[in-house]
Amino acid sequence: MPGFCDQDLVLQMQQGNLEALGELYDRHRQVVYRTALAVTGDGEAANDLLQEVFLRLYRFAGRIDSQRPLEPWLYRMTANLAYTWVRQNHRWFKPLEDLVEWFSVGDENPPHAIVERRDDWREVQKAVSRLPLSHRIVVVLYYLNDLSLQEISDILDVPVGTVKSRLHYGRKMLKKSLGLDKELVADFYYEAT
Amino acid sequence: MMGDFIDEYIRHNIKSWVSRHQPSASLRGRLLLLAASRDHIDNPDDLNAYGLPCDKKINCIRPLATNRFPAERMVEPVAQARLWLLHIYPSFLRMVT
Repeated sequence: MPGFCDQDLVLQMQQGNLEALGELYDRHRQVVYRTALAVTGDGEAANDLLQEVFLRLYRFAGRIDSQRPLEPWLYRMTANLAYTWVRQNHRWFKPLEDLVEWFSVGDENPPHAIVERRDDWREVQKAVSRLPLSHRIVVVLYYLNDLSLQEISDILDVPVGTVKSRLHYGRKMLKKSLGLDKELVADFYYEAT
Repeated sequence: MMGDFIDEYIRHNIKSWVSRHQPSASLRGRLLLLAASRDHIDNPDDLNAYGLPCDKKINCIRPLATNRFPAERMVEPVAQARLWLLHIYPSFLRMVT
């Protein structure tokens, strides 16, 4: 059904067309899966949430306004379900390795370490998973999905000022976790350019 | 300028991280199967009768997919621990007595 736009597919889905659900899944699965993965940090959970988001899309198709873009609805549902999952699966202890890293993050990183690091994404992954949940969701929607502050505000149903504040503190915590502050950044920046 | 660089650094690495993962290939079929089963089942109790536990409050299937498909479970820690106890407990009793 590649010729149909999302709005047409939602209308068809409202009439119980499973093919329309399959087509919407094919179009949007990556964005839902990656958002869920970035928030939960767990591949299995991301698969489960992906399934749940699209089951709900089908289940509640009748309540969806087909004249409006579908993506904000998908983001909202993904963020809500991921939020619930993280809260239910919060671990009260971390593996020893994580704990050691947790304490050693920051000042001990020599400046050249950042430039030499090849797996920067691993460090970013860990740093994101350490963010408070409300900040993490905003950071993921902003950096991963390239959404504007206004769009994030609409999706999460919080004021733009709150989004801005969460992004500011989330970014600050990421910088500290990654050692991307002050002179370290300067070294990295000049070597990279 | 520096702020832009940090933003770009974070953005690039988050995208790099998640792009290394893909949704499960079997998920599409499973989704359509579950959606089709819901077409004919409105009552949560009916879902339970089909072996699909359902949360009545939010009217959706719980728990998550891995629990619905026992064949796909990787490990079952509690069951394994029970098995281990069954092995160890009699020999421990023998040692004590």
